[in-house]
Amino acid sequence: MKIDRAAGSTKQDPAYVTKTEQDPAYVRRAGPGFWTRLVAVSLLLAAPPLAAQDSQILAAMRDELKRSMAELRMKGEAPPYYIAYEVLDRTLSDMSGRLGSIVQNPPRRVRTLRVEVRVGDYAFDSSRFAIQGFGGGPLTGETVIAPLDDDYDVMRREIWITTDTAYKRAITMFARKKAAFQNRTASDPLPDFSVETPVETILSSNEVRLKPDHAPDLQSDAAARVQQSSAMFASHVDVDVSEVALSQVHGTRYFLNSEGFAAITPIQIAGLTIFGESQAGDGMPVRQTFNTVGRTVADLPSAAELVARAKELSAGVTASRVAPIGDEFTGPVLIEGVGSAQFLAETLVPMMQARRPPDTENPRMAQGGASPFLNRTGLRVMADSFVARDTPSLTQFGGKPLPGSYVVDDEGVRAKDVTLVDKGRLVTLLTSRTPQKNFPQSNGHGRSGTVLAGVFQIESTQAIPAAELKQKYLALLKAQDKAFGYIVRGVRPDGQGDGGPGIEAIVKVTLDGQETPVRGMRFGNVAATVFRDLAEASHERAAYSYRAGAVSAVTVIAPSLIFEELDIQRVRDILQKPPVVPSPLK
Amino acid sequence: MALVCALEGVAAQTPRPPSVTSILHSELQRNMQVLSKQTVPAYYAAYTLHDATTTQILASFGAIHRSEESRQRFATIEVRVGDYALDNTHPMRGDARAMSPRLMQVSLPLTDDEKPIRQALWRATDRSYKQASEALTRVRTNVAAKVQEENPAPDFSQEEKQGYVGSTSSYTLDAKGWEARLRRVSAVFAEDPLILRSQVSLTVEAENRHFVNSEGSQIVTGEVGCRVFVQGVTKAADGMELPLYTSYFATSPAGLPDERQLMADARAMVDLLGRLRTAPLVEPFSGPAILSGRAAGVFFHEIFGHRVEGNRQRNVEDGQTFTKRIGQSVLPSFLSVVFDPTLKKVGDVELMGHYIYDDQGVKGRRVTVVEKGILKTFLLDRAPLKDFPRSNGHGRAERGFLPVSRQSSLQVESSRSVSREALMNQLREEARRQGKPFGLLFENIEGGFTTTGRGSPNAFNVLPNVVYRIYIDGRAPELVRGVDLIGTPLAAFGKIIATDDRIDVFNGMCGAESGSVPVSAFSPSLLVSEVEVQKKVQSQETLPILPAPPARRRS
Repeated sequence: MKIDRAAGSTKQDPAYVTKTEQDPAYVRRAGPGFWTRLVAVSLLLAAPPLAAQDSQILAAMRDELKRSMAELRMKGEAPPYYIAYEVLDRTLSDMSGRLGSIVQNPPRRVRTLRVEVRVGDYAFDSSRFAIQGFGGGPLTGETVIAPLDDDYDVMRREIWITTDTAYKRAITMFARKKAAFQNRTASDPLPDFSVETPVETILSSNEVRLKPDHAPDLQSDAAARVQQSSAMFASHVDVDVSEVALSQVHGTRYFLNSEGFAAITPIQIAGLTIFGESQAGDGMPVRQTFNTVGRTVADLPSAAELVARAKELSAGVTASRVAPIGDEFTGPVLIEGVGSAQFLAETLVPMMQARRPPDTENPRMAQGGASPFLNRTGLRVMADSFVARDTPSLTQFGGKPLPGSYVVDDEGVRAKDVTLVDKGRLVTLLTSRTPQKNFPQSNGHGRSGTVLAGVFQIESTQAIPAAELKQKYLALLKAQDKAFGYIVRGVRPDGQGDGGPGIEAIVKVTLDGQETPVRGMRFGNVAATVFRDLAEASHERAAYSYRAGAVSAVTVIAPSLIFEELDIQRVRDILQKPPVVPSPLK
Repeated sequence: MALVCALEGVAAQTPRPPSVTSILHSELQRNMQVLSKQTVPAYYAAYTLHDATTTQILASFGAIHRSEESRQRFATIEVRVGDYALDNTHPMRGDARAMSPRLMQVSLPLTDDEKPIRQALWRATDRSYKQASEALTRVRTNVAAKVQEENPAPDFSQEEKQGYVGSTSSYTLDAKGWEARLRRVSAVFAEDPLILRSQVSLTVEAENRHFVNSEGSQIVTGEVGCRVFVQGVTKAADGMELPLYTSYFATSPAGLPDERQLMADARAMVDLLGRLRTAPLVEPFSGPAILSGRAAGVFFHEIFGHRVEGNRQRNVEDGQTFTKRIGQSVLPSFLSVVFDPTLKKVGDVELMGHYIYDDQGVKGRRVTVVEKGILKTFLLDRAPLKDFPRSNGHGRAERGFLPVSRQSSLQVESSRSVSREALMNQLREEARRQGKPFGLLFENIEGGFTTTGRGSPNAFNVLPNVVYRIYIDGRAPELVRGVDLIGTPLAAFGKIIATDDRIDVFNGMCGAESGSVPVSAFSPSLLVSEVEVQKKVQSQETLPILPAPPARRRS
């Protein structure tokens, strides 16, 4: 339910559309006196009243912010033009299981304070500048451990000291940056920080005020899931190492800046990983991973489902051990199910994020990493029938909550639903408050200190049923005179720099439709142009979510896809001999 | 059932071989049966299971920053290939980039379930064996290619097998009560707005260790250590950071000081920090000085203790200050230095340097390293020296590191001790004799470091944080700041001329090659005829620009 009537005169933010009735969010534009009205508003809405701790923390943040903006300056130096405070109050719970026994620690509660101070102005400031030996990267603020007690005095003292440090660093950095730039001619000057309209976003959630001793009960239900699924591996003697690991983060994020942006948002992420590894006779490691991310432990699969996953995974590892190594291949590739979403997460999604590498004191330190699509607005980047969007407002898909969904980004900007590609043509990119060439404003995707997608989805207007995709694929192979092709069903990030994503599950398919599992394969480098040659897509789509940063997740929703041309290569691992002593499970 | 129902305490369970030891033992046997028959045979393996339960509570300026309890189980795995005479741990000469041998470390489930424990041990043993056999290949080439070694000794000593099942330990702690206490003690520091950082923390750890090796040793020990650590940092107007620390150690929570004492010590620290802020800076100076008992303990630990660690005598890159001085005078004849891990207490003070078995499964022994000024032996682990073929129970390591010879509880004994008053008078006399207006009193030392390698000057730098000028004209002692105590070891020891009769104890952690290990050092105060001080490294950061924010009333 969306409410916007605190002062009776502010307008609704048109960008914000809540998709479910359950979402207990209210948002409004900022105005003077907001914080004093807060309590009244809460009562008016019969929403849970802000607990005392919120007011203690927020009051300390607000008071020190006000004082610092008014008074913090060093003689002869620029005063801060922007200050932001972020408090993350998190309870972390972890548990893992191996062969049915549990390793678990009690939940830990951590509160961190991050203070960002900028000097200069929006066009040119102390941010986005990397200096050798100055912690390496650009200033992203000072982060310290903050007190867990809800004590105004102690919190404010912590904020005071940390703001002082952050300001001193900012003026040092600003001086270095100005010095470096005074003899450079800028060919394409871009502002350092975008100007946005301040907005306040207060999300109430039952989880927000949980104390560690009220942490969702990981003990019983989750322990059973971890224990039972990890026990599955005990009967698979060919799996040399296995683990089921569950982790949950929940808490509250408080954000306040000197422009009037403010946000209080719940932090809720839970993840579970099942991992199994073995070695083929030739020494090649074979591993499989199952990852799932939800908002809470309750969103994760049931014990029965996890047991089935673990069985499937150990059977997969056992089968891969004896599977042949595949042949290298360039040609049409069919990527199925969740593998397709995983593939896009590693390839297309980063290209849609308008990240801007920092400027550097030493130009040789310059980092690449800008999107290949910066200059392609209006041009074709995908096949004609494709639409790509990022819809952070979408909270559910297929009846399951989507962890990538969010209301406000880490910079306090409201998340906008964005159409990125329409009829194959690039419309825009995902942006934060760091302006990028051709993309001067934020569309609310500044998360985890960079630009992140929220709920990224693609679909085709000419989709066909998934069941017909394989026949289409075989026909394509035949048309290209290929003797065989590959169907990829699982994709993972790959640490090796020069290639594309790693492959978790792949079968070789011959023209008669016969499938043979193979191992030891990965994608070659995936160019930005391959999406122009997407041949087919299914109606059915699968969602895949992953964690990105401490408190963020991204969801990708994608159909199964046939690419006209991709490279599949052999992995180039250094192979270790198998263990000298046989496994104790044998 | 025991009737004792203490609120806080340390429980010792009835000794009985826990089944996890037998799991370790049988998996070790199973692996060694195969590995000892390989072309490059393993000749020794050891597993240590560390089961640690830890509570940590940290408060600052009156609020809790962290309050956590955790339990972890790890195993460390050591496999040696070759034989006792020459194995994979042999020091590599002339290769600065050679990796020092490491142990394999794996986490284990918290329950005594056989399958996951065995599987983890098996995997780690295999990796450990492979790394060791690669290392042995490099060692053999290095031995063949370099000049003949000056002092060849075997790489691993022969020791008797040990069987010891001590009691496993646990503790109960009133965490809420300690949180409240630490809040109150840490709030004392909030009264001074120029104390920029401060923390008061409690760490309680129960560690149970299960050690088995292929020579047949099986050792189970359990220990509880409790530490309260108090820190305050202020800044002088010139930007100099002035830190003070105090810590307390006990083997049970009940042994820690009560709140009244903690409050009093915190207030004293706040007061001292305030005085340090305005204390005058000392210019570089050389002249006589007294090192108080604690300061002397740290001084001996840094400058002397590290140089009598046996592994340094094997390492040709090391300065080897004392290697060839057995039987010779290295200290004034009225001083003896003893390392004694068997000692649990000095007076009422419990010692962090106490242990029953070292980390190589050798029983800790009292070792008189210097007797009446004469060097008798070194601190030895299982890497023997030519004339010292056996360990004396000083092979120590932080979990995950390969044990090497390290210090335990260092004790300086003096046969020329006078009262503190007399020692102060001697200091004034000595200063007068040297034509100096004052001598220095080093009341406390925060730590120090020393280099023992050959590639750099063999100097030391200890970091005193409470120093007084003692004037010859009888003026009151004057607190000063901004000096480090520097020098070279052999010169420094020759200048100790007397001691007093008051023993003071330093308990702390010592970091070196094999990680961080708990140690103690205690000594009477020392009068040194000449020390040299240099200016401290100084922070160029100014004081905070804005004054501390106004405190709201705390209700």
